[in-house]
Amino acid sequence: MNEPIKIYSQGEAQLRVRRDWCKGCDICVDACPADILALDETDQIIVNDIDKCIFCGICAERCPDFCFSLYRPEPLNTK
Amino acid sequence: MSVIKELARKESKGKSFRGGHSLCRGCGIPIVVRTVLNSIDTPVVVISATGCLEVATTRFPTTAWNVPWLHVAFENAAAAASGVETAYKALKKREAIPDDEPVTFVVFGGDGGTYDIGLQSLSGALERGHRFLYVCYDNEAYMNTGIQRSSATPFGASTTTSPSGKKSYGKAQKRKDLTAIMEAHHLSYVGQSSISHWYDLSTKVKKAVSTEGPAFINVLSTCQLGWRHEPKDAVNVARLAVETCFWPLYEVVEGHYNLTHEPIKKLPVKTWLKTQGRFSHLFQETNKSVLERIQQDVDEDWNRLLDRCSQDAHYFEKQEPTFLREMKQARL
Repeated sequence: MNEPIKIYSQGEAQLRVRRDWCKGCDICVDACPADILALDETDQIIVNDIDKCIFCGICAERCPDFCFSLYRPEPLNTK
Repeated sequence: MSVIKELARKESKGKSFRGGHSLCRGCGIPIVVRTVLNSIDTPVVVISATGCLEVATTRFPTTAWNVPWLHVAFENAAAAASGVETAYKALKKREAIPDDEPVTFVVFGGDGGTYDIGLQSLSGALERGHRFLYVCYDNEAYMNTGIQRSSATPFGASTTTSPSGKKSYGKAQKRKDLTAIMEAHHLSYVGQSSISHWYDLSTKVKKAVSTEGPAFINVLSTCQLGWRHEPKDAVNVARLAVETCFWPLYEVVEGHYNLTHEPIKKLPVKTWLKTQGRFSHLFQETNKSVLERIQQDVDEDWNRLLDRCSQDAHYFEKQEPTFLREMKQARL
């Protein structure tokens, strides 16, 4: 049994993936500009190489099942 | 305007709509709901019409909603919303609730609950001027009950109640232009958007909630089951509908048309039809005339829209609507 939330980190930024919510629709794999997402043999999402992630957020915006959430330090110049 | 990172950050802070729902894989509806709710900064109250969204997100005893949520019946989502909005105003008048924080009322309805069954109550609520945002996620048939035709189903599409076969080429009637009907209610903001263009949708929601009075946004959402395409193509299929000008992205601000996205190259509508199984029968030799008619209809509608937009271009050049100006100032 996998842990429900898998955390991938790159420095302070984190990409958290809720694998048990994934229905394997492949939309994120299609959308990812860095091409690092894939489906495993159980048709659920895995992140191949987190170091290549640019934290654009398109997976979090597109996923119909809310599997992705991005955590990053707040930028300094927020108004 | 918001950038995608802001939307994603808002998402990780407080989710108003969460996963774990039982919508199909590759469904377009959650994409609509998330982009709409993440683009609104105030607290929201959501009213849902009957449909896939309502059924799949609120299976007893679970819920996918983290905000106040109300569902009454199929036909009266807009009437329920006007009741909620009036109750809120009455409580504020009695000082029963604090006055300082504005609340946004958002109604989600499918094309069945908006184009057909809920049209009467929606029309009434818009005419009375209740302040809410009505978002119609248009997946072009009654997908929840098994893909029956609705008045949003496009001409030539095969559904279970308009099947294609030897004697039939699918739905024989042209779809209803709901955005034009809404525009006829003299609303300050009416928009048409698609799940593939998140920035367009997010901007339209921000404009819509900053108006005084009701606003309406019609969003094209895909349904992999009813449209019969691969789940992974959901966003791409919606994008092709925009790029072929079948589903143009535009807004009507105080009666003036504005085209918000013009395709760089207008693709033939065939490229969009080819991606879906519900149109596969149109590519038989016998149905060639139907295909031609679809292209003709799309061209006519597109040219009419371009004409209206160019007529109203002076409105957006000379005088900016007040709420747009205020929004720009707030951003600076």
